[in-house]
Amino acid sequence: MARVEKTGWLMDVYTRPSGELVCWLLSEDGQRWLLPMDFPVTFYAAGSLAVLRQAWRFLRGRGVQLSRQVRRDLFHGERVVLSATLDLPGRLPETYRRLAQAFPVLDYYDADLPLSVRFVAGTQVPLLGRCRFETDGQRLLGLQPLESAWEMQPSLPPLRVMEIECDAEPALHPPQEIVIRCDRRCYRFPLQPLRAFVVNLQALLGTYDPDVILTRYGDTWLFPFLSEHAPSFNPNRDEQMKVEFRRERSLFAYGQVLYRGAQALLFGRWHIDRCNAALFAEIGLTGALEMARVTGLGVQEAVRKSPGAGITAMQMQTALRDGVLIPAVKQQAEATRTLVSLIRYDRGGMVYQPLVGVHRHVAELDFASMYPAIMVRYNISPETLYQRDAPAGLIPRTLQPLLVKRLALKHCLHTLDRRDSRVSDLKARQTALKWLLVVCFGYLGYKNARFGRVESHEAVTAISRELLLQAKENAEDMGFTILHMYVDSLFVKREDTRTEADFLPLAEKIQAETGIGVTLEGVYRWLVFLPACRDQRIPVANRYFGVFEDGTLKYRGIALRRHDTCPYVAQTQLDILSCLAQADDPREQWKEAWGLVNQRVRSLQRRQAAIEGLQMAVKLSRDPQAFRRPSAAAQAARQLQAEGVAVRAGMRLFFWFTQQGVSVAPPAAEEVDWDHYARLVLRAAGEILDVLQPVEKKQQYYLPLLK
Amino acid sequence: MCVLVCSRERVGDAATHLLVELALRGEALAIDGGNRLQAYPLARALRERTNRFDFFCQRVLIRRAFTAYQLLALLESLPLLTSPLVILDPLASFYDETLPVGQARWLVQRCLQEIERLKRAAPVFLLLRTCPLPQRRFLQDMVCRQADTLFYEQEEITSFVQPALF
Amino acid sequence: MGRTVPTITRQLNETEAMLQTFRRTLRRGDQALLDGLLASAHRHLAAISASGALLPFEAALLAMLLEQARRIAALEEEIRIFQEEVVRLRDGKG
Repeated sequence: MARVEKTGWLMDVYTRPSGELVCWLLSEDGQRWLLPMDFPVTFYAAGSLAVLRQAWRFLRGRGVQLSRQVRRDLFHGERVVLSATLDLPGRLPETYRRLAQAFPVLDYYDADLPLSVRFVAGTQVPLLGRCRFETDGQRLLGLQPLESAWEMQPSLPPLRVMEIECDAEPALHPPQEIVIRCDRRCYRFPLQPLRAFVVNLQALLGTYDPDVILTRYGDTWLFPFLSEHAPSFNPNRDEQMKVEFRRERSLFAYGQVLYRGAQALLFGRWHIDRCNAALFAEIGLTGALEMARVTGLGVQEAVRKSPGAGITAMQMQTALRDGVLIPAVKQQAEATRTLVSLIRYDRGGMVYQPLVGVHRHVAELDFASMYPAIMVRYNISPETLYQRDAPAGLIPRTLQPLLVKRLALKHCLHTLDRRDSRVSDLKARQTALKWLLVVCFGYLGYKNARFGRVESHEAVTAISRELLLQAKENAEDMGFTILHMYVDSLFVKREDTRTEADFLPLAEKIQAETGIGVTLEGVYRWLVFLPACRDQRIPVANRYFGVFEDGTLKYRGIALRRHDTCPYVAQTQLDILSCLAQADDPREQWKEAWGLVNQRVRSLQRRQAAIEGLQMAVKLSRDPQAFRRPSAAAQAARQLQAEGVAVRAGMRLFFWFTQQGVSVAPPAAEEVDWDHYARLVLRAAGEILDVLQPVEKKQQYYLPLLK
Repeated sequence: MCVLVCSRERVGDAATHLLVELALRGEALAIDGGNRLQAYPLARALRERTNRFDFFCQRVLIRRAFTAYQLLALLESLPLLTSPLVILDPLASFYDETLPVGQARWLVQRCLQEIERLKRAAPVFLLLRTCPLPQRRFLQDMVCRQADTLFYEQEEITSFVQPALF
Repeated sequence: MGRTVPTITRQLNETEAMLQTFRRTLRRGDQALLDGLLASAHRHLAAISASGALLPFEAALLAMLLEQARRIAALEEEIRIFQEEVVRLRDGKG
């Protein structure tokens, strides 16, 4: 084939077993290309010169180009390093592993970066970005970017999507039937005989040649099952590749146990398992593409990993572009401090306890992306700590375009009519970027973050507390009462303020004083702050419900928001809120709301509620054998184990309350513990309605003196 | 080098008592390797012993290491001290299963070399929690072998005991 | 990484737990008063935290005093209104 030039999109990059890099490209004429490309990669080692010389000898003759260079470490400044370049990127991990094992004393840099991140930084062509490429049909000979990752309206490749679903949850029951949807057609195949199913699936893959395979349980069941029982079946577009399986694991992160199911990754097309992709339900394919575009992580990685991995990837891109070394392990330790300083500065955001009860005409003002905005405005970065007038640091430079793009998308959304067809896509992209911004602060303090530092983390919270105090003072100067403040938002009211226009001067003043964007989330017709369950006199932060002037409900910290609330109870709370929302004051609807609750309880007593609505969900906080008490979660876990299901900490389990305890399988109506569900409904109703009781009753709580 | 091996819960209490005694006599540096330092109880314990507790609180210096690599970097960065060094739960991050065993062994060796260097100038106290992972127990043994004085806290008695009167 | 010093809420809860023996020995009516006092400190967690006090319970005591002062001010206001009413009735203006 003669040399041709095409325009299209860079979809993904990966390495073949030979170690060579392959680019998956989609050209505008609809052709899919899997083209190997020359892309040498380099990693570095630093340390004592004597050990570096030994490392040099160790690597010599292993197909690695070696040289002595001086490169910049973000914390240590310029360092003499041993540079090791490999022509085949796929060989780097093994070479690095052996070298690190032989010379653990050396510091390693740029040694464990995701390949796509290196590629994007090296070629300036973002994933999913439009590009021009040259090929002779065998190899990729040239690649130029036509679009940046920060394009507001990026062109979208015409993707072919295939959806595969099974008729049962494989962990509980072996699926019998598989449904495949593609190009507006729907196929149903029995799973057995397996040979016939595999032939049909392979034929459909050949006919439709999808770019994306969207499954349910594809990671944890379908592809592992096919790999075991039909080893010759290959769902990859790149026939030289096998499915890459990654093992399941439970890990402790963000103060909780997380469970990551096994993963099945494809080459030359993407596989996304809806049940194993943390954010996919919220951001969909459009959001996932946006995430991959800005982070440089492949789509399959971006949907499965936490947004923190995305932020790290973005920081790596900035460092690679700046020529800053990226350490393989983080080593910056905290500076010496006194006990006094630790207590004073190791604190979170400002939380100003709410005034419990019903409030009318309340405005909620939010600092827009407060923490990232602080990092950018105050140049908070590990290398700029304690410095005045330092040039923009690595973290602010990484975040700046992300902040700008998200705000622009948000602004665009505000200008569109809700029914506009572009709204859902813009929302998905905006949400994807929001998640990256949400985690960027946490990653500044994350122990394994390459460019994190605990003092920077503390600086951000210290500034945020100061800004919130400034906002409070501004509001009080203008005669407002502060009802509640929570990290980056304020709830205020004043006798004479009713509409959004009344609150705008305050928003503008705070924005002008603090230099951080302030948005008016809305004006509540009424808003109720709830007390603690254990003591009605104790206010609780971020636990409220209310209705905006346009009738939209907003609620935080109540059963409706919790993942362990069954749909029936959640729906009851939602119905109560909708009932209360009909009035100008929720207290007026108190009796009607209780009437509604009684109806729902009666439905339960008459066993009229659908079983699906009573399904409880719980996340296992530890492995089943580690439970000391037979809690519902422990019982459910043991039942599943008895059925041969591998249960691990961090997994989400589903069950029903029954007369005998719990059941992981849907029970018959006579087995259900209806009274227990009635109690749950009453507790959820009380959570909302108790605070609305007449003042005389409430005083009994509030004034023990009068008892 | 003085090593105390005790339960995870006891590390914090032991550190509080030790740091109070040391702070009353002069400066002390605490390196917290496993989020064991109890800042408020430490301040309270000092308050119970002295009226000038603001002054004595300034004598407790703290550095936190959140990973095994950070602990090593921190020890390497320390000059020879003139005041005692207390290291709380130094192996906590070495029990992290994401850290390969070989790497953990090497890091412990390096940390011990650094402690060996530091102890020549000032006393070093290590408060170890009993290793929760049998397969990494050897890390604790490595540290204990190097101790000049070694204390083991008795295992918790789980059978019924008469409650203490005071 | 990140925060290792416990939050003020947790710190106050721990202090309250330490006061349990003290509380238990009080008369039932006094227990309710003590609970009310301790609960009133929770209204000012932000200020207690912002004080950066090494002994946060000292700041919590100040918060309890503040709530007492607020209560006294409210009662004084009520008394003033009652007194005005009494004077008005006594003078036969009602």
